[in-house]
Amino acid sequence: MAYLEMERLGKRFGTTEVLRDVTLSLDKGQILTVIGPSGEGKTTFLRCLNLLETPDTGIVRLNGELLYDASAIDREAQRRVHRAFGFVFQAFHLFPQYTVLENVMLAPTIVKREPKEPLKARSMALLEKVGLAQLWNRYPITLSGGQQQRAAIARALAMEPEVLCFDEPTSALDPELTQEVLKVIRLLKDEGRTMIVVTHEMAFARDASDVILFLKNNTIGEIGTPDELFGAPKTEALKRFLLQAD
Amino acid sequence: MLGEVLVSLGNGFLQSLELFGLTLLGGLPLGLIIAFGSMSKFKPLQTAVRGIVWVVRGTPLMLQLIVIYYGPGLLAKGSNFWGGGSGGRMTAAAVAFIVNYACYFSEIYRGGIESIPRGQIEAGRVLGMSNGQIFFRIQLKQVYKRILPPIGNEVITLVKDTCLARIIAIYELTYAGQAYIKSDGLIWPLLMTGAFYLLFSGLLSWLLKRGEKRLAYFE
Repeated sequence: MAYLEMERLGKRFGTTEVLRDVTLSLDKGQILTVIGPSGEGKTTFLRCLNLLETPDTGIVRLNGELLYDASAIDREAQRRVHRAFGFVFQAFHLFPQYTVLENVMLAPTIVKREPKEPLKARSMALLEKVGLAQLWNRYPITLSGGQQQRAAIARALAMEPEVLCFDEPTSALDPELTQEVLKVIRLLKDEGRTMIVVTHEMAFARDASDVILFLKNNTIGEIGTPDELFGAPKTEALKRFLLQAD
Repeated sequence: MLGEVLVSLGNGFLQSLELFGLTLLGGLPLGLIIAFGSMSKFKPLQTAVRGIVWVVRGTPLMLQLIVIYYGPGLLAKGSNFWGGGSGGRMTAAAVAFIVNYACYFSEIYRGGIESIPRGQIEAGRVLGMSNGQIFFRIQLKQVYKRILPPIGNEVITLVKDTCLARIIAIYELTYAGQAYIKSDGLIWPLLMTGAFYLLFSGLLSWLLKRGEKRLAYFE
């Protein structure tokens, strides 16, 4: 049985359909990347999955258990989703008034009520992992974009999510800084984390993902392994997209 | 003479200070409640609150002061709503000032809260925080930083607005100074009240600057 399953995820704003019939499943430890032209639903897909937007249709299951059914989303469902998924934003959204370490510790402290000392040790270990242990006491404003994004990843990891989602995590970064963030994501893949990454980094999508989802016209254009999509694209749209992306 | 004037002005200043303190004590929290009302998703409440803010900000404080002090007694003939003497007058003045300033504060709060990027709220949400946690642990300090300068402006204005309370015969600082024109034909005690206002607002400006500096470490 698949680890993460979603059926017919869909969303419309008024009369405009922004996401339609996305059905797919993912095994534990797999990494799914989502590619496609801008405005074709990549970010909407990820935001709907995380209930940052309210989907109109769709059922999502994790480990065989229902996370939510779009026809009946209540507080409980939102709680389950936010516990199950971690989310890393394109623009980081660190809390500016807190140090890096405080950013990482805030949610476990107030949401899970974890005791301070073990949490601090755990948080420092996470910062070590993303290469920020030296900067634990700095405020976000003093960090580079890449450092901020790595801090945001540590903050998401601190809640121990089942699936970690990235919404164009490197789109706001210079090429150099992009690589340091992608390196961290690859490290997490090696640890066996299940992840969904919306990205424009084709090289990364090709060599890091297990499954690639190509979104076109706000629905699934193609889905498959990197070899299938990059090696033998079936649709004109994907062929054109890959040419442009090169 | 100078000693006598200083004592008299000092007493007037204490009255001004009392009104100043009561207004901030009541107005700052009430303003936050009004701000939430004016941002409410429940339309009737939002409209009602915004209507009140419009009336209060759109009419003179002096007018409000007179209506609040004399109104209850006129409505219910002979009743003594505010209680007798200077205590009753101070209560009425404090109520008028608190409501008036709370409306101004509420608009500052509202602007501050609405100016916090949505991403901050979403970041809290995906970490599983409740709305209350997001407001108190994430937004509040950022709001506080943004609103400190405009709130400071209002506070400085309030220092000088306290002199309006004389209209219901509160013996505040300006009243105390002006009294010497009538009784002794002296103008300098009135000019001296200016020094009181200047020193006090100077102290407040300095405190506000310090507060802003302490919040300068984040954006």
